[in-house]
Amino acid sequence: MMLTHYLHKIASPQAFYLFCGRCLPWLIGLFFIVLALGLYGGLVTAPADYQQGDAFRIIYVHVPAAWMSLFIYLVMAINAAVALIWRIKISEVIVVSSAYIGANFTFLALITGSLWGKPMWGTWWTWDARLTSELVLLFLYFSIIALYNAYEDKRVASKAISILALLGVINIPIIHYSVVWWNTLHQGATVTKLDKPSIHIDMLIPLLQMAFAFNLYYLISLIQRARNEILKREFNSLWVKKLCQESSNE
Amino acid sequence: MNEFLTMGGYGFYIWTAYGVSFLVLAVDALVNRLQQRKTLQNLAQFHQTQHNSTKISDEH
Repeated sequence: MMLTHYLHKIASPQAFYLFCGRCLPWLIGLFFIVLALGLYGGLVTAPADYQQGDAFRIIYVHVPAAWMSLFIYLVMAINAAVALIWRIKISEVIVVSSAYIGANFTFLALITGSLWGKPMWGTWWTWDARLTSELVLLFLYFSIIALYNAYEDKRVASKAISILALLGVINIPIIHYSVVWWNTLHQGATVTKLDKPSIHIDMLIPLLQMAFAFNLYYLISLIQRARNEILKREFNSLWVKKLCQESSNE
Repeated sequence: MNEFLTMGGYGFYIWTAYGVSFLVLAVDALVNRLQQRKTLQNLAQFHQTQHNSTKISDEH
């Protein structure tokens, strides 16, 4: 009873806007600290790979970006379900904001993968299962963004993209298991498997730090986008009017 | 230092990968900031004109 009361309070656009505004500076500070640790570990202290030499260091941007591309999609799909069932406004905002950030990380996973593939495989691109399904994910994000912008009424738009986001979930297990189900050029999982990770601890720690940093970035960008979207949607409410007045007086 | 930059001959690939990554995140952060500012300005202007038009309609 207490919990639902609390959830309803925090899910009100105004409370969400103010609470997140207070959290932002701390999140940004933490992001830079974790990022610095991850970069130092990945580029300086981690030993070179016995097969790939220093080229393996691309892992510290490639793998976290690829994880984020999938993780953000899952967050987006869960919020799409919540938005469709309970019509919660914050969830609608999270769906569209996540689509933009997810597209960024998917693009990065593809680009950094290409930059890793060239020296290791001898090619920038190949139509193998992992790469193709990840490219499909990028187009999925693009179509969600395009569909959202095609509607004038943003609540109708949110409903449409929520349905599309849920349909696209089918692609997520395909991406994850593509290296198992098909014979691909892309290597199999080294961390996200039930067995012990087949990566040395000195190489693993910076990877986890970078993944944490990217997660923090997602949270920061999501909050900024969500706050902006809330302002636009609640433009006629009293608290937004007050807020705009204050900011124009500054 | 030079060894660090050349990365055993893979310098180009590694630094491009890191460079593109941080460029994308930095542009994303910048766009968010600019949009927030634009929204606040647009809304302040909108509220102002709305306020003025109600005043005019009151006078008539």
